[in-house]
Amino acid sequence: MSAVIQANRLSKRFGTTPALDDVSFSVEAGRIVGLIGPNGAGKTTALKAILGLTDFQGDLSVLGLDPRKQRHELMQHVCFIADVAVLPRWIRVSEAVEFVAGVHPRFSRAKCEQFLARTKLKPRMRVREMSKGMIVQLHLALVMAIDARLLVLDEPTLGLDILYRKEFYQSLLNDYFDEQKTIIITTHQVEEVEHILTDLMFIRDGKIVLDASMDAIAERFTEVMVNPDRAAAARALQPLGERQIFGKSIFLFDGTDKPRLAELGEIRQPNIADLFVATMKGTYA
Amino acid sequence: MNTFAWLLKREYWEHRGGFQWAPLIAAGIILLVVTIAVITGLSNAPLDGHALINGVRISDIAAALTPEQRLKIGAGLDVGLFFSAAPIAITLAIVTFFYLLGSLYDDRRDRSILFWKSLPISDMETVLSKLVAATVIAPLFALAAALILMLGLLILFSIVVAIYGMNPFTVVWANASPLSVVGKVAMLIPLNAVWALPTIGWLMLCSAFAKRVPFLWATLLPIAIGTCVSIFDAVTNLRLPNDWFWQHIVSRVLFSILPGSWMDFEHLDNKMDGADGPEVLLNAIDLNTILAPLAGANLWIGAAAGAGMIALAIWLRRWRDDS
Repeated sequence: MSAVIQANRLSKRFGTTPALDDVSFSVEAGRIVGLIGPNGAGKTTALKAILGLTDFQGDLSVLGLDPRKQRHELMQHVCFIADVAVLPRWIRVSEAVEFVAGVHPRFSRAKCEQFLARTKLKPRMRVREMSKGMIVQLHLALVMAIDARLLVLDEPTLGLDILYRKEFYQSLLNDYFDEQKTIIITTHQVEEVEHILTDLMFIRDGKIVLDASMDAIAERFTEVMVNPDRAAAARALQPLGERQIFGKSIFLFDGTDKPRLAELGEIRQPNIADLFVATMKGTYA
Repeated sequence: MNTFAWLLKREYWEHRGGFQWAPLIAAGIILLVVTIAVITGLSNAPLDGHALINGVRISDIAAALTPEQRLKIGAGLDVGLFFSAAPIAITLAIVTFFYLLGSLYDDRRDRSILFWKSLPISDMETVLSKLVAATVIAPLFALAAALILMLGLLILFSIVVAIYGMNPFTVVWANASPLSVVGKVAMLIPLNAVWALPTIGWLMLCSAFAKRVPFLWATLLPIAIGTCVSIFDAVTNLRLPNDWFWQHIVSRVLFSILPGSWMDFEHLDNKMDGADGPEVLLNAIDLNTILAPLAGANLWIGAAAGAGMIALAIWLRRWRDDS
C-alpha cells in the first residue's frame, strides 16, 4: 500500500525562526502516528501543511494530492479537529449535523446521531451553552461519522478532564479506527496516547529527531535502574539521559545491547514521556 | 440542496437576528409610532362620521371623487408607502455593513474558521455565499418586512377612513398599490447590489485582512487618505475637482451599501420640474431612472473595483494563516 503522506524536504520559516527545517517523512495507511514535540517545535505547522492551510517549500503529497493546489478534493477524504472549542459558538447541535450532512458527501447522519445519543447533547443546544468536554463530544461525533481516510488531531483533548480524555481516545479506537484509516495526533499528554500509537515522531526545532514504529522503539530504547556504585560504568556507555530516584540512577540507552545493560541493573521499557524528556533535553535552554 | 444553498442557509442561521428580525423590528416600531400618532389625532378630533370641512361632510367628499382624483389619492398613498420603507432600508444598510465587516473576520477571531476549513468547501464558495447573503438574502428579508409594514399602514389608514364614515375599500384599497410599490423596490435589488460592490468588496477585504478591529481599518483608512488628499489639495495648488476623492472613493467604499444611494437626485429634480401631483414622484422612479446609472462609468468602475477586492478577499481567505 502506498504512503498516505509523503513529505520530501519540507521547509517553512516564520521570520528567522524555522518552523520546518528540511523535513522528510512518510506515513503508511492504517497507522496511528503521534507527532510529539515541545511548544514551538513545528508540530502545528507540519499539520497545517498537510491540511493545505499554509504554504511551504518542498514536496508534499497527501493521499496522492497536493494540499496546496487540490485542497478541495483532499478535504473530501481528510478530517481534522484542530483544537478543542473551535466549533462556531452560535451553532446548534441540530444545525451542525444538518450542515455537515448537507456539504459532506461521506458523512453518515445515522452514525452521527448514534454517537450523539451516547452523550447528553440535545439537538437544540448551542455550542456557547456547552462545556469544553461537550463541544469535543459534538466535534468527535461529527468527525467520526465521516468516512475519511486520514484524520488529523491537533491537541484534541487540551483542557479536558480525564473522563472526557479517556472517552475520547476510547471512542476513537473502538468506533472509528480501522486499517483503512490513518490518524495523526499531536498532543502534550503523551501518557494518554502512548498505548494507542503505532508510530512515533519527535519533532524539535523544525526537525524530525525520531521517527520509528512503537515496536522498533521498544527494541531500540532501554531503561536501566542502577545502584550508585555502578553508575560510573553506566555513564561510560553514553546514555541518552540520566535521572535520580530514591538514591538510584535511571539511565536511558539508545541501541545499546540489552543483555549488557541487564548486568548493570534492572532493565525495563521506558515510557514515551521519559524518552521525550531525554530527547528534548536543553530545548528551552 | 447543493453546497452553496447550505452555505446560504448557514449565513441565515448565524445572522437570523440581523437579516430577519432587525427589519421586522424596524417595521414594528414605525407601525407603533404611526398608531400612537393616529390615536392621539383621533382623540383630539371629532369622532362621528359627520365631520365637516368647510361645511361639507368628509364622507360626501369621498363619494364624489372623480377618477382623476382617485388616481391622485392612490399615487399619494403609494409615495407614502414607498418612503415609509426608508427606515427599513437604513436598517438593512447598517445590518449588511456590519455583517460584511464580520463576515471573514469573526470566525478567524474565534478560530471556528478551522472547523469550516475542515469541510470540503472551497474558499471561493464561502466568500461568494457571504456576498449573496448580503446582496440577495438580506434585501429579500427587508423587502418582506417592508411589505408587512405597508399593509399595516394601509390597515391603519383604512380604520381612520372608516371612522370618518368613508368606505376604506373604495378610498384606500382600490387606489393604493402596495404590491406594485414592493415590486418596484424589488426591481432595485440587483441595481443596489451592483452599486454596492465597491463597499461590499472593501468591507470584505478589510474583514479578510485585519488582524483585529476591521471596523477601524475599513473606516479610518479611507478617511485618513481623504484628509491627506484634502490637505495636500489645500496647501498646493493642484486643483482636484472639488471633493472628488470624498465623493468618488470614500463615499463609494463606505456608503454605497445604502439602498438607492445610486440615485442621481439632480436628474430626479429635473424630471420633477413642474410637478403638480404625487404621482410624478413615483413615475420619476421608473425604468429610465433605474437604468440611468447603468449607463454611467461610475457604476461599472466601482463594480470592477469591488469585484477585484472580493477576489483579493478570496485569496486572503485561502492563504491567510493566523489561526
